[in-house]
Amino acid sequence: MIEWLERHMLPCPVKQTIGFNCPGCGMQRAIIELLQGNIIESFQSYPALLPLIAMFIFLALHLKFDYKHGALILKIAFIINAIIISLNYILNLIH
Amino acid sequence: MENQNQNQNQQQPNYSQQQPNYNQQQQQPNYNQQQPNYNQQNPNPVFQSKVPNSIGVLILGILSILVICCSGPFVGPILAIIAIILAAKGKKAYKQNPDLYTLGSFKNLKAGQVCAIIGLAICILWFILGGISIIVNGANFNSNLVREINDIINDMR
Repeated sequence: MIEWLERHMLPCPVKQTIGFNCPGCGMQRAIIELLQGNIIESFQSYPALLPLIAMFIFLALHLKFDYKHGALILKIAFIINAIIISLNYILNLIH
Repeated sequence: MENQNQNQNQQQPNYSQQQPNYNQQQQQPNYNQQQPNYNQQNPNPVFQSKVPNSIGVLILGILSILVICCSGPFVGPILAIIAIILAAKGKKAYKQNPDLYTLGSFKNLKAGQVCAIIGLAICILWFILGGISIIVNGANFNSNLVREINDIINDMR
């Protein structure tokens, strides 16, 4: 299944039409690395993937069990994710 | 006029019958958890419901960042804008009578709104940075649109 994914990676539609990278570039590679078990490589190619997955798991749990400070934690997690994604994107642009 | 009066008379009892049903159906699971909070704030025990759109706004707001990452400027901002509009509606409903709704769902609504606004801001930031990168790199970028335009220009020559 991982090999099938590697052979069928979607080319970024944004990059094809507009011509510059989008903030999600590297996510597919990171997902494949994560499925193969290489957490460090996954983090190097897209650092925001693991926090994003954690945030979505917490969102599902919060909707199910309705934690007391769930909304606040989600807000903070979202801001951290946004900062990671923006920094990663700016660094990629510079390099 | 008589017809209208009759209609009103018919609707009135229906309304009062529906109200308790509605509250019982939606509030039964949350009732036990919210009871202690409620007694501190208000002496009259009233059933509270969730703020309309609160869960939808939270999900849309948080999804907006993922969609902006994956599909760029075309779908992500739409999700974020829908979330902001729904959040404004929910806030209005909450401000009209705050006692009807639970505080937790209002917090969810506000968190979703903040997330949607941040998502929209990231999209705008991305456009600005992309524009700057195009200006800095000049005609170095590689896109199907530009290539097709170049092909058309070459054909015309």
